[in-house]
Amino acid sequence: MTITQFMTEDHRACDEQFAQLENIVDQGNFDGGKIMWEEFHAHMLKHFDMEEKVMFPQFSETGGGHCDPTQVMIMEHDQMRQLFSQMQTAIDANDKNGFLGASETLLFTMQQHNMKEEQMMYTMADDTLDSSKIVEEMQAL
Amino acid sequence: MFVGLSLDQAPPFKAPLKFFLTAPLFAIVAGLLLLFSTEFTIHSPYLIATIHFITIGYMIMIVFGALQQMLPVIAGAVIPKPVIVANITYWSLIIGLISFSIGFFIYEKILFFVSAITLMLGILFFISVALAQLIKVVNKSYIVYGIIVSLVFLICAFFLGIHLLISHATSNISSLHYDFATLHYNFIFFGFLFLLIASVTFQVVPMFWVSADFKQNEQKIIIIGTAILLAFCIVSIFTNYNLYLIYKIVMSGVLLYFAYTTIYKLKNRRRKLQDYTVNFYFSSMIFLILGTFYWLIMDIFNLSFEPLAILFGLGFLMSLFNGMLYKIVPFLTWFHLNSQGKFNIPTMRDMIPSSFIKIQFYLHIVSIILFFFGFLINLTILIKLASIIFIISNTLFFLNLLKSANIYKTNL
Repeated sequence: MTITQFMTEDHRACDEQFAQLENIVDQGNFDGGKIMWEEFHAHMLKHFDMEEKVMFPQFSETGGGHCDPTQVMIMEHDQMRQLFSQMQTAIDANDKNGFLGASETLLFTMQQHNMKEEQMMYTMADDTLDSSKIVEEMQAL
Repeated sequence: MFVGLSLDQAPPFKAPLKFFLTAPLFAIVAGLLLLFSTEFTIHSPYLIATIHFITIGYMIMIVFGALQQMLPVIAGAVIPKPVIVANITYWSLIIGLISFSIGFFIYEKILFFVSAITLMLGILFFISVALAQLIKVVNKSYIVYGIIVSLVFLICAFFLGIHLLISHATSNISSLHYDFATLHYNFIFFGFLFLLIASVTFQVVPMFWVSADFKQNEQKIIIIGTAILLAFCIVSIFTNYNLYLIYKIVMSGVLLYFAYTTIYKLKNRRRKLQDYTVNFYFSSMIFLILGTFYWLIMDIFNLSFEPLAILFGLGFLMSLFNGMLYKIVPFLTWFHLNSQGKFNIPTMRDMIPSSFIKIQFYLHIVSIILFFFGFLINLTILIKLASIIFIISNTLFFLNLLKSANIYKTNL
């Protein structure tokens, strides 16, 4: 399996969890929402770890092709971490509007980030790294 | 090409923002012209000028603004020197459009030449810069191919438009003038706007509403099908009217197929939140369907062309652009502030009150319905009423976008 296939599937799984989470909070079900939030949040952080602890360092070691885009990707992860913190505060306070405001901003940030990764970053990583070894290491996290 | 993935890949906010804020202002001007107009036939100079306030002043403005922002993200194609490119394009479009319109109002031929030159500068310059970057993209997706083909059709439509304009300037209206005009609006509507919107829809609908992806075959049918049909359109216009009828029927099939697949995916989206952008998108697709049926039957029942322009232009295209800007502008406001280290800022949802978006959505829909029936039964009072609502709708649209832009300004 290539890095692109593995990570794109993981993006789609996160999207699915995200949509369910927003729908349940929108219905005012905060008990169910808090459980889903924990699952989604943990999944996202694991996804970031797979990239930041396994793929990005090994990609940077190869010289990163013509340029090293991993710093931009990490910066965008940090933008999303700030939004996670806003979402955490809002869901702890059962604040539906606050949560959905932060979640919509997260969706846009996440999707434009995913697009760059799927169309460029992962393709570059597949071209320069041993894809199956990287996927195995990421799965092992 | 992966060189696009860098910190400075997003153009400065002011580069696309002025295109987005200017678009509703030109729609307001178009509304005012209709309000005070006494001529309502498509080939009258007055209506030609009004239509171009919408096509160039509203649609091309939004498309060029959005492409500056989207090309780096969708294709890694970065517009070099974005502020300079934006300024040259923007001011050329403004000068070109104003001289074009005044040229038609007072029929001053020198203004036709001025507008031909400035529009050529603005449109061809921007397309050349965008195409030069897009062609370098390796592993092009159908979405990237779709954008490239749509820009090529805009170039073709532009030169046809220049030919028509020079014909007016030199008072040399040939027997082929209306054939060229038919080809011009087929290229603009189907070749440029429809193909571009379809390509962007393939990307944004699954992303922002978490729907099923558009399959490769669906994308292929719509993009390649439209391009081949437009080549057939050229032959049919200049040879045999029966061939043009075949073109219309098959092209209608492509339009309906696109509208159906988009509605199906939106209807079955996983993200079910109340969101007026979805309503704009649904309305856009419904108007595309209605417009397609009207296009098919208009010759049979000897119906006029103007209601078709309302359904396709205002209903399909403006609804979609309007809805998308309600997402793009607040996101860019947040993104650029956040990237500059401003964290205590409103979220996208808080930037434009949803109640204002809701009111504007209904005003927009009501104006289209009134325009459609006004032009269909040729009832001036209905067209005037529609114009007033259209002006109010676009004023509110402008103020809503300005609200978001002001948040950027005050938080800098």
